Amino acid sequence: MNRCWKLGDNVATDELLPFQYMTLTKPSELGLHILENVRPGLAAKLSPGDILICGTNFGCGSSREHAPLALKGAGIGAVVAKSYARIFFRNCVNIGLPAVVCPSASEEIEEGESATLNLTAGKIETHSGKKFTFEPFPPFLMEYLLNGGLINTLNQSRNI
Amino acid sequence: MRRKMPTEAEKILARGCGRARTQAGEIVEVEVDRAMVHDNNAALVIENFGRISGASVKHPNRAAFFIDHHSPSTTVKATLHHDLMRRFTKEHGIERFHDCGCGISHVTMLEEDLARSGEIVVGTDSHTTGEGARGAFATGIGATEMAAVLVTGRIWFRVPETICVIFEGTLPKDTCARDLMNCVLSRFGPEGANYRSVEFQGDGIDALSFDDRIMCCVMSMEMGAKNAMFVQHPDQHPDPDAEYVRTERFDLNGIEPNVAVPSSPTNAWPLSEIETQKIRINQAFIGSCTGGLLSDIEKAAGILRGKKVAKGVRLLVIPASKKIYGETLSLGYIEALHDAGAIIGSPACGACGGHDVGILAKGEVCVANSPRNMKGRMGAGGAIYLGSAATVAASAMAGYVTAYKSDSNGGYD
Repeated sequence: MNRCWKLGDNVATDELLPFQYMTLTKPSELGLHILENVRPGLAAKLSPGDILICGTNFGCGSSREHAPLALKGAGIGAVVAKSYARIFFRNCVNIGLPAVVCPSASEEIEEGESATLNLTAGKIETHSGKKFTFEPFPPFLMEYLLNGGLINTLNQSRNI
Repeated sequence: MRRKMPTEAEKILARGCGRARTQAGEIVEVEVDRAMVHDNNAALVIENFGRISGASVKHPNRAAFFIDHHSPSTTVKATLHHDLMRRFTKEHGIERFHDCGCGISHVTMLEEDLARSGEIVVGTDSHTTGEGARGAFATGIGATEMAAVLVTGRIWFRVPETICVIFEGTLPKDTCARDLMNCVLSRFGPEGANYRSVEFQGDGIDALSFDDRIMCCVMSMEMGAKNAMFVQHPDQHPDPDAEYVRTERFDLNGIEPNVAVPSSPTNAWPLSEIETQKIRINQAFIGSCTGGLLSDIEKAAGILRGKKVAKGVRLLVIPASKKIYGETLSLGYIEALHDAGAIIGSPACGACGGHDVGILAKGEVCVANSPRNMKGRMGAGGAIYLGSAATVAASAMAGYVTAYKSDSNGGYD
């Protein structure tokens, strides 16, 4: 069971990771600054595997991969949203961070609840017994997520 | 029923994967014609490149590296990243390396013909959509994916549905293309074009300058567009039978000056309503890939020539490219702006990204013709209003957010 944290609609990557930290590249360092301007202190409260529950168009704006890397570095194990901005979604799967689309879970899960997310089965279940299903990722993207990202997957196919 | 014709995005992606046609919703792998990397993401690209077994750059002649976000750098870390870029491009035979002062990647690529009609262009910047001004399929990607593109020369795409945006009529006096684009963004909202391709059409586009077209394509990203295009090539005319998922018409005659208020570029409000509030500004910024184009600086110089920036306002002007800087110097625009009290910056993204110049203090207000006004964009606690170059220049003179009125006889207080 992992703790859920909730955000609203149209959260921009500018908000997820402010510009002044974009010269950092280590996920652990980036993770110290997530949502610093809009949810100050959040980074310190997270535990590994926590789940971010978001509204529509999550991660809109700048293409900065630093934003999902920061979430990963802060311990976020998965993001659940009604929808994602395109580049943010690609960035998540490319770094092996599950970005799940599940509007009902996004609506009904409250901040502070605990939940389990089963990626391959496409299921989310909260400690209070709420159950949600989501459409599994296409096989090639599932491979990225299970391998820890695009680079690991690419290396497997390169055989070098 | 007649079979629907492919959209421009479908045609370009079909060519990219070597097929006769593709359809929206399909996932295809395509050859990349041009890959752009800029200094904000280069360090992550290069780190990830280093993680790929036996990595080499497959097509050094298709890659272009730019220093445009921290230009010149103001931090030690950014300097180290620049050094990394210089060494990487040299080591891998990438000749198109644009160092500090060259200008913004999107604008420079169009100037140097690095994004042609029908080509597939990817860049590590969301505003890569701007390269669609001449009809390229151009889109932003992340750093990890760019590392893979440099090695494989290929990328997967879900073929997007296409939205057709039709401009009809003529913009009224004192109304700019930016006012029109703010209205487009307002109608679609921040997610209205997410995952979709945008094609601009209609008789109204004839009056749009190339600068206007760049601005429209860049700003399309703010409604989520995967790419945006003005189709130009003679054999690539927009097809009336193409399968558009949504068509929206805009009557240019009815567009009035407006600004996007904090904190989304899609929050457009008529200036006639905003200016009565006399929202005081601390900074006015003319620059970025949507605002530092030659026509923007020409417009601002025309308005500010012989006038002065209001007391307490910093006016920052940053040409989008070295070429534009040179032209604005020789045409006397920079002199006029300098005399009016402007601060002139080195060609780069400038205040838009907040990486070098023009950062706002908490509680400060900026009016800008750059593309974004999300929370924290130019500094935590700052507020950004987005409008045309004319609006920024008029506001800089007035000291508050206001529209330019050519018949006002300089009545800015």
